[in-house]
Amino acid sequence: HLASTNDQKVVVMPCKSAPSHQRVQLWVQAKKEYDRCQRGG
Amino acid sequence: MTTLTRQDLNFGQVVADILCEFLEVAIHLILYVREVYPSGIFQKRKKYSVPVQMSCHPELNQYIQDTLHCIKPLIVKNDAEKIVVVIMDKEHHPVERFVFEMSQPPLVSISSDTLLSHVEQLLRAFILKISVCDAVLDNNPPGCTFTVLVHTREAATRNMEKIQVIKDFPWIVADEQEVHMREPRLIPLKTMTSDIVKMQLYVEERAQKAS
Repeated sequence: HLASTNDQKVVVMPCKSAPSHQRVQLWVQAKKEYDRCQRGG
Repeated sequence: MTTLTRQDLNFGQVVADILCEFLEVAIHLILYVREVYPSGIFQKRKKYSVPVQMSCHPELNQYIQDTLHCIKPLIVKNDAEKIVVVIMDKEHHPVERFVFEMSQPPLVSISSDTLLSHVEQLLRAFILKISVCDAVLDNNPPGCTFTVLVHTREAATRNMEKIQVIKDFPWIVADEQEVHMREPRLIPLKTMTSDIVKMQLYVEERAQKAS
């Protein structure tokens, strides 16, 4: 629980991380490869 | 013509819908302009009658949607004082913080027709400022990532809890490391005052970006 009885200012953030640059870069490469195969096929 | 007042049950929801839609566009554009992700995942779209870049990466889009879905109840209740898009280096130290500081002014009454066209014009100006902000910012180091911070009050986070469970998207109190930046350079980007929201956007940039 984030809340308590004292209503103080608080800064919150998602527990999960956003996808990393590296992970997204791999997706871009895989998508390019897929698109190339689709065009070739 | 519909007239909305602060007392209307759905007024806060209307404001939150408008702001969350804007924040979604703004976050995508910040990630594109500041090169947090490869340009290959972005596609040109039109929002607020201007071209913007929006990601087509499913996981990233879902992440942004889930984030905003959890923030929305806070905006509905006027409990989100600041929403900060933090760009972090590989060591998870902030290099840039895009701070959206917002408050909903006390309201007498407004017409929905006037409201929508006026607010759209004001939000368009924010989008245009973000799209050119790279001109006044230094390049970021490679391999950056991002997170979103919300400045609120402890009691207000109770509004988030149910939705966190539903979305399986839990939130935590941010570490000092994510919240503060040492001696940042402050770059004001845009301020708006409308009947429904006052908002200012500024960037805090770390002096030395290379680790």
